[in-house]
Amino acid sequence: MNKSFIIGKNSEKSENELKNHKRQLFLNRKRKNDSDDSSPINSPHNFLSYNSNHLNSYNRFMNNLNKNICDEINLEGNCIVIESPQKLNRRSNMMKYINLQLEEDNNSNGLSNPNKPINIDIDNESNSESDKESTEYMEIFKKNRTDRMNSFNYSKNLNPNNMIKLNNSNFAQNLSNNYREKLKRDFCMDIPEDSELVSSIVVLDNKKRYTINKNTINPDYNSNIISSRLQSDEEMIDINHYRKNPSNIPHNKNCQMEEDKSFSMEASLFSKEFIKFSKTDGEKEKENTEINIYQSHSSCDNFDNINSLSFNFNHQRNFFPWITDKTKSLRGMIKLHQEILDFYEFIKPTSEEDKLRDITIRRLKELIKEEFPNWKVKKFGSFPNKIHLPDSDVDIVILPNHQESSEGQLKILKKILKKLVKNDFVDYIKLIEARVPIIRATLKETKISIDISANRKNGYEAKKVIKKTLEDFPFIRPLIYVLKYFLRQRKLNESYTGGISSFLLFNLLLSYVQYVVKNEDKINSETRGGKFLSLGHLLVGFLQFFGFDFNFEEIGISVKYGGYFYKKSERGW
Amino acid sequence: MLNTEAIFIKNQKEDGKNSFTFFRLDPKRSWQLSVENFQDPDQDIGKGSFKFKKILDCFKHARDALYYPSVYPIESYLGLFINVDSFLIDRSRKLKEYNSKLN
Repeated sequence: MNKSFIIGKNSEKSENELKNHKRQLFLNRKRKNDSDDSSPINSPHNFLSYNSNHLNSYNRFMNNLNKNICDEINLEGNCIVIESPQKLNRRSNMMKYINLQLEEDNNSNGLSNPNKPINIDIDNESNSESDKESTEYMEIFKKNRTDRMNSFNYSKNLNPNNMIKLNNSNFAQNLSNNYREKLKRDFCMDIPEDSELVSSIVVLDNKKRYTINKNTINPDYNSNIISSRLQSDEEMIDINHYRKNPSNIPHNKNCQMEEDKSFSMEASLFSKEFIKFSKTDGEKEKENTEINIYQSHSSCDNFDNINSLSFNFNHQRNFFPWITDKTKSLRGMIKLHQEILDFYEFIKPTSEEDKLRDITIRRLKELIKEEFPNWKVKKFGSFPNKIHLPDSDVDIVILPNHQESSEGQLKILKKILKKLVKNDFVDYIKLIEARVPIIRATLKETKISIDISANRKNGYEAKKVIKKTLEDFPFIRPLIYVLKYFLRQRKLNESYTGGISSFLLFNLLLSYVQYVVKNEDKINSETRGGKFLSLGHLLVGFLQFFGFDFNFEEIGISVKYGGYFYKKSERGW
Repeated sequence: MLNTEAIFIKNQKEDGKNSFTFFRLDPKRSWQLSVENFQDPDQDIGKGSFKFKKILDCFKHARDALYYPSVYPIESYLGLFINVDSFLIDRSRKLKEYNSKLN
């Protein structure tokens, strides 16, 4: 007989619900048999289940947890209850820690166990390597928690399939009699001695309460694993009340809440309305699980996959337009690598869009050449090097044919402005009289924005160098797209508002790549023989290098001569 | 609010009493990015990016988001730090139309 419960909250199932539950389990088993997957990982039953032989290792695990992370921790039956994890910055970190510990204990003790599930992972084919890594990781974790770069590589092992891979067995047989009595007394639950219990982890925050139940797991793993509930102070008081008078326990309320898959952990964190829903009963909850996040003027109105503005959180979490079906099945660093390529393919302008740009620029050239027949009109910047976003602006410079430049920059630009306005060529135009004067305009037909500058060779000559280096290091291009869009969402994309222009971003990326090429042996030894071949490694390394490690106060960057760094004080900058 | 980017405080004990004095930071030791232009070495390209500290914070956030694993399966790693906004949704619709034209 299977039964699920959560300690700390009174819940007992009525007969109908138990029947339904049994039926679900039966269906799951049937599905498992149909799919012919003999590996136990694929079944939801093994997701969270313990081996009874490992009780000693659990005690060790608890002690470790007590020392390192939590204030209080109890092993109660088939549940781990962790209370007040105040020392933690993030919840997920603790989850990771728990999983690691469980994994390690299982590896150390359960090697001789024939029932041990096989570890299916793309990255590590042999089990011995993963053992080494896990032990190494633990040492690092204990020594220095801030040294996160090294431990990042471990995350490839943290698949949901691998996370807690302990065997299911009769854990209930080893339940102490004291515990059974306690359950009877406090929660009026009867547990038969032969029952095979469903295990669950309960994490108690100050007011929040997260549970991982076997019931809530779908066999596909695509939907949410976690169901969560907020528990206010009032509810806590209620529980104490029920403890004194166990006859008052309401049966139907809580069970529904726990099995409802539409609630995700994230939902409880950022919507206040969720709290209201968790307190209401019955059918109202199901109606109200759809909540508007988007503002009314957002453009997902007409989108095909989303029928209306309101949608489930599950649906939203799983929707990433750039990801392809192939990469969904991958895991770890390979997935990140493939995703960056997908994002590049998704966001890079199509050939049609580029053609439109070329046509409009050609028209502009003709217009300007009527005014200045002896001058060259050249494009530079991100567009000719093909590192531009589909709506980013085109940079154009006007250069004299010979080196005689008698007229000033402002005069030339004013003439061009008049010409453009006369021919009704632009929607919006403005002359910015800064140190480097610029015309900023948006064209009427195609709505492309354009920056025109005059008599400045700097950007035009850099174009050739960038082209060469992009041929040498072709993997910089997809990385630029990812970082550029990431900065664009935070409005740090353009140099005149204090952000990083694409030219600067290119410089930073190139200098990091040069640094990696030079110090290959050193970096590989630091990260336990990891190979810096994938785009994912480069992206994480870049973020680590410039986000945390680099000393911007004293040191400057140069890309010349294969890349070097200089002291700011020497240059006087 | 104290302008911590330009000023720092020094605590000195004189005759058993604490005395606080304000100092101006050396402007050369500021958090400014400096990148040499590879065409003319006298020019500093990074001087103009005065929001560079914010950018560093963004990098830190992205790295943290990638580093911390979660209990539920991660559908997309880039989705941890790139939000799905209206531009991306528009883009996917455009690409669909474009591909249907090609076929």
